[in-house]
Amino acid sequence: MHPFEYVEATDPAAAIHAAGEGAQSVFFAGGTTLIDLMKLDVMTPAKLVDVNHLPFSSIEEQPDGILIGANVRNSDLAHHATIREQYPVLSEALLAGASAQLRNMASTGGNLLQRTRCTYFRDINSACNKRQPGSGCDAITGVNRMHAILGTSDYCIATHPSDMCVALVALDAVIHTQMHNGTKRQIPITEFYLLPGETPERETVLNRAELITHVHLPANPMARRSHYLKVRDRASYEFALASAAVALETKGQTITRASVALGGVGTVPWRSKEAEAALTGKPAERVTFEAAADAALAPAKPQHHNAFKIELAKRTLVLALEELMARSF
Amino acid sequence: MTTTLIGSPVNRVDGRKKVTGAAQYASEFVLGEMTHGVLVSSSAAGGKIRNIDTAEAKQAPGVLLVLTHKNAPHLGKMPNDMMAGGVAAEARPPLSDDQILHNGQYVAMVVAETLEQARYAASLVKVDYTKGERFAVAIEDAEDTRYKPGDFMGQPLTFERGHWKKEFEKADVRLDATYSTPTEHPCALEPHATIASWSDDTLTVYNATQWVKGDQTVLSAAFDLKPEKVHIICPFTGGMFGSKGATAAHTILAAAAARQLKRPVKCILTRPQVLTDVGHRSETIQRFQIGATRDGKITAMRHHVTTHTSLKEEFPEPASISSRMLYNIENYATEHDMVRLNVVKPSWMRAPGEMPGQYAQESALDELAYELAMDPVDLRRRNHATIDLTTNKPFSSNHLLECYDRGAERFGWSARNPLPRSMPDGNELIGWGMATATYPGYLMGAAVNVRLESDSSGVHATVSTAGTDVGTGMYTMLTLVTAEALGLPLERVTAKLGDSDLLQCAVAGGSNLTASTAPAATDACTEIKHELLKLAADAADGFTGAHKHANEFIFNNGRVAHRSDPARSIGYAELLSLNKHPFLEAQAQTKPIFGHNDEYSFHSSGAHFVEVRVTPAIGRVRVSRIVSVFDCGRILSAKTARSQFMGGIVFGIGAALMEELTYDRAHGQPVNADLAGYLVPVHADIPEMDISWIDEPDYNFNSIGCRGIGEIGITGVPAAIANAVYHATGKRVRDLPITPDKLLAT
Repeated sequence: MHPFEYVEATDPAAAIHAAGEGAQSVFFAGGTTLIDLMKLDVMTPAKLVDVNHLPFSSIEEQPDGILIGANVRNSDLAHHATIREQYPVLSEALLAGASAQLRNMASTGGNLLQRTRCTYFRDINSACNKRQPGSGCDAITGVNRMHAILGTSDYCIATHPSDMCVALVALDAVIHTQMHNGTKRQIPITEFYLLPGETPERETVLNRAELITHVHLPANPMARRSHYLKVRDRASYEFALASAAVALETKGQTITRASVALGGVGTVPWRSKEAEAALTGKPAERVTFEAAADAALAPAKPQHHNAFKIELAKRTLVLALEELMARSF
Repeated sequence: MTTTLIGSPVNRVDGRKKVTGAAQYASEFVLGEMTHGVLVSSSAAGGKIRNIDTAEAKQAPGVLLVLTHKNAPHLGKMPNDMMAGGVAAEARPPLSDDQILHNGQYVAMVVAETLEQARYAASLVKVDYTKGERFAVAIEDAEDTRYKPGDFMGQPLTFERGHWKKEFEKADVRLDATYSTPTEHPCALEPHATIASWSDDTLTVYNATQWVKGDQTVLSAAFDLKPEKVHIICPFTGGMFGSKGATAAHTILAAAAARQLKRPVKCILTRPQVLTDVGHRSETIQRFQIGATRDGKITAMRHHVTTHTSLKEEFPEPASISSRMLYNIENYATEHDMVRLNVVKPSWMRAPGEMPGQYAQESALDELAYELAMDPVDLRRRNHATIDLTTNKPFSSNHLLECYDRGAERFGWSARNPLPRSMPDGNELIGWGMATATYPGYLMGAAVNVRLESDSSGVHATVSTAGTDVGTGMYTMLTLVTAEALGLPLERVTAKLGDSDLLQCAVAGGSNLTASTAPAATDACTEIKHELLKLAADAADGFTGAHKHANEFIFNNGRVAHRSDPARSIGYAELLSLNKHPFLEAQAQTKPIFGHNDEYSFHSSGAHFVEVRVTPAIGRVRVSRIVSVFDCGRILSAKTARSQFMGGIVFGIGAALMEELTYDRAHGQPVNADLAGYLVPVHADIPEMDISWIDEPDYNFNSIGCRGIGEIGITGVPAAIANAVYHATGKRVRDLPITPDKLLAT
């Protein structure tokens, strides 16, 4: 770990100002990713701007949805009564992530910016275009069982590790931010993440010193009927091999609306409009679900050790839809 | 003798200390003038250090010393043999030259005033390695180095009895199957840690260890000191599972740096360093060829084992250690091949040999049972051994058949339909599998001191030996045994452990420490009771000549009485007041037994019955039920014993379903060397367990009749799970761990 300066921000403007000074400044919230990576010398910020005391810790129910403060802890969000009732996919996704201790620390805003678990990203002796642009990608030739099959490039195949974000993508969440000159903007989460392409070091559309203040969940009756299924190598405290966030609206036996996102398989939390198109207007039955799964994974590109993820992700999506349909509402 | 304490479920005597943080582990001792050592690990897996630049590190704030191969002190030749009383983890002293043998090898130690300063300065050490050197981290990449190893702790690894090949070829039924297990790591919760401190020519070391006397032997050789000038202290160890038995490089370097600085040096390994630089369990590839008659008599068995070791040293994971003795197979052969990899020297990990060996053997027996259309328990009964064919000696005490009976009964095994996929339940398939557990009886020897004294608060006994409590419950067990033997309440007995100034005691390994220390403690107590009776004989009415009829007297609650007249008792305090000293003290010891003596072979055994629930669509396996029954002689402390068995079974679930240390074959580093990447079971992976024991004493083994229990729990569990997965799905995974991708692929 390298020496760094620590600043406790008292209001959003001060935080943004402090983070704007010097190129090596970062916001510090739960720290569950940042401190870990600092210990590994993967991140070596010169200054940490602690945003934990900023007034973004509430969950507000509004007429058009729910406004979640960036500092709301994962565990508080997961157990919030309205979230559990109206957005079960989000509560389930949060509880499928990390451990109880980590969820007590991890913040909503921080989770949006969670870094990949790619072992080569986390090892400063390995080539990694995300950590050190232009150095290459040891994952493509290395051990890549856990890596992405969707949204990859010749420069990077690192998986986005979050569960929460997969649910947020399925729920069309909107990210609220504040910038240096005091301007604010609202970014749909589906436009928030950048595919790695040739610049895997750029992960989101955020500008430097742009502070996430809230996440807005639009009102969405379909979200009441939603579900998150995660497949992993142990029962808890492990990243997904594949996961699916699904929400359905049906009329009789026909699906009238669908929302599908996949985790553990994409370089970003993966929304599949193709799967949604394959579901909409079709009977809610296995054949339909399988067609949707085929559509979702059609663009998948396997690496040496992770070809199984294509079939596993398909089956995870089908099972998630079946489990959702088996629930009574 | 009426037994009240032995075998009862008493609480841990150190439980409160542990849950309140009062138990001090090695790295928690606070010494004045402490400095902090951080190790720099090689990023190369082979070749040489071309240049190492420490200039910037030395300039960093707080830095006191940077040790590299260029300035490391010369060390004496360190012992490398269990029988020599100490084992250096690697014979090659750390920082001894510019050779790189594996990724992660320490190339420097940076010592600074604070941990943060040392860590930062360590990141400033620049090492330039020669490029393009050949290296290998997988068996298939090192076939050209294949060779036959020497013995493992005195046992040959390649031998034959009878004529396996002839019998195999003419057998009615033949099985030929190959199984593999990956590199695994014990990952003890407490990372390896040392504080070393010198005072004149005396070295004091607080060490996370399972063998204070072994560390004393190694460090006295390394620094050319008399053993009594090296003091090792380790009151508590936070788990070890074999990985703290050898004296490791960080301990030696901390002592070297402390001598140079004339200040204490603390060195705690990072989790990646633990996984990379502390010996692991080697991967194994095991081919079983088994011939049998139609009615299930095994007529031939060949067990071929391939494992890896490091470039320069040898540790053969002895996977055939159980196949050679567990069943009654006259025509048997085993061969062991090894290859050399650029990894740290492999080492002991809970049930070395038996764990991977029993996975393969018990899987093969399950396959054979299906070939024969025979119940797998019946197949094992049919081939049950009453004599250890490796030594031709009878087992001293063997209740394996009762383990099968009781386990099957408690599990409800008789309701099993052997047909795979015959037990669907909604989206899931249920499967039932079983396997045999086995582990040798080891007793490596210990000397124990017991002292009975009296003060204003009453009589009190102290039992002590240099052995360590590695988390298993030694404090509780010795307290309980001493209280029982002396006739004192538990709270009147204190156990002292983990200090090399105490009496000689073997390593806390091979599941031997209870068997080694409990009889010695009991014998020392017998001597003290004899002395108490002598004092009584001289002084008290009705006790004339008492010491000549010791077994006629009852020792209870600090008082002694003749059994014919319990009311007329005399207190120990009163007797001690008659002694010329205000205390009585006695020592006793046990002699080593390594699995057999002239008369008997000593083995524990058991049976696991497992239920799994598999979601076939996504390849998910959950263990939903386990019934395990063990025959380990007499059980002394019911709660700690159950915990030991349970811990072993949890280890087995990890090995079956998730554990694997994976190396990058292009660059040679482990890619999952932390506890987020190297998966061990979490609570959600573990079902309720039905654990019980036969509890028949083995008095041929020692005077108390107890054999070890630390390792047997793990043996057989991975096979029982793999067999249950086959029963559930019809898919036989012959390569651990059984992960979703493998179930989807087969």
